[in-house]
Amino acid sequence: MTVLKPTDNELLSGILAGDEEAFAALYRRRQGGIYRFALQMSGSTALSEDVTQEVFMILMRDDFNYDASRGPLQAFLIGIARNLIRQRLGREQFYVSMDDEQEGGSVSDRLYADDCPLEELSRGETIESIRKAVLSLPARYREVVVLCELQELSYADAAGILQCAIGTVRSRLHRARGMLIEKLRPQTTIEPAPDRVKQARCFA
Amino acid sequence: MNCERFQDVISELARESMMEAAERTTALEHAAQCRSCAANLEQEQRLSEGLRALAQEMSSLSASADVEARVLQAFRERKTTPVVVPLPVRRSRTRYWAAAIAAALLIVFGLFVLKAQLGRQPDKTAETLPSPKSVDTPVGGSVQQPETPKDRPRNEVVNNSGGSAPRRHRRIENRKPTIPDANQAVAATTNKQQRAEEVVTDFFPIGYVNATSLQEGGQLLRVELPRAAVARFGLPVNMDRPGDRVKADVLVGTDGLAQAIRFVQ
Repeated sequence: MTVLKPTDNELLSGILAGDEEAFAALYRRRQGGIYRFALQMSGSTALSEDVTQEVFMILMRDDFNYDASRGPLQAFLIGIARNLIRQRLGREQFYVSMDDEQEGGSVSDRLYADDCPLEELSRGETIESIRKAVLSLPARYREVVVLCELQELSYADAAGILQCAIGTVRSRLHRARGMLIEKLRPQTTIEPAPDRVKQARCFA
Repeated sequence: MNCERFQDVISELARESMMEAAERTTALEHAAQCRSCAANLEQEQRLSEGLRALAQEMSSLSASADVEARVLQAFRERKTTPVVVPLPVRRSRTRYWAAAIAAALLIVFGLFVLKAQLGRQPDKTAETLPSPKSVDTPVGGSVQQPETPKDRPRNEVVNNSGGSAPRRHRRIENRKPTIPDANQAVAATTNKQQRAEEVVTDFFPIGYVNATSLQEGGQLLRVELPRAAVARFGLPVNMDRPGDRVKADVLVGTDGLAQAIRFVQ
């Protein structure tokens, strides 16, 4: 005899009735996705934990108004997390310079060595370089990559979270992927200099 | 399929998203023939692999146990404090419709009154005050004793919150001073002569006119207003000189609120 796990909505009803077990179950089920979304968006573990905590604090409020007909609870919670992250970071404020954080040459120089891009790097280096490239994207492109590629949400769910059209999600993702490829492309025309000047980025 | 069209679908192709089988076939055929597009597709596919690897590596990450402890503690504290759950407010559309209809009726009524006032204006604007005494006679007939200068100094600036007329620089003259000295008596005589030559309009109600207050009496106050204020009551104004000031009589009820206004020329 198999015991069916309660759905999110059933747990939510229990939470509203004051059931701590229901709250703990929902937290354990959904906190990981929220934490990872925050981490992939911000790159900061401390901020991600704060955001995760704040999302569930909001969840236990009485004025928490989730409408199940408008989408899954996870998407709703990620939407709250997104707003919190934007408040913390500000628009287009959080950037990680890839050149600043690398030693012994830029990631792109090593990533696309010779004619075999990505192949000569170890798996760990590849993942780390892509993580930094994602973090360096402007926020509106970063969030579609995080939602559609890393969280593996559908275009429809991502559009619901971002409150935009599905076509907008699609076009932003296409553009973001192009930007990622450009960021990971080797800069062959630049001679390696002993003292690399930190490049100012233009986000116009 | 050409290269431009191929670029449109390259992301979907690399992500192995759902797409039409025919389009997918033609795109792959194009990549087999075009070296540049094939290289781009390979880059996109490698990017997808890298993103999948990143997602997989992060899939085990979660918030620390401290966060869970803090959140559960907050939930327990919330349970111990009584919670007042507000009743859901039912907002029916009929209330909005009723309000909209009421607003529309109010606007129509206002326009009707305004039109009636404008229709009577040519006859009434030529009205001349018969005597200075009539100027000071309130609508209700029984005049209450005016305030003494001690109660309200002359040229007091009043902020009238009860009316819709402009609020700044309303200089009020006490229309019935107490027994004046000789100079004041001469000045009063001069004022009466001036008023005998004045042409006035009808009274225009200011905001909500309290009929009870008017029956109890009131007081006329002479003020000066910008010319633009005349236009607010629907009277023709020479807007070449909007900054000029015009005289007006404000009828103040016993409750101290402005009830009506008329303009003086």
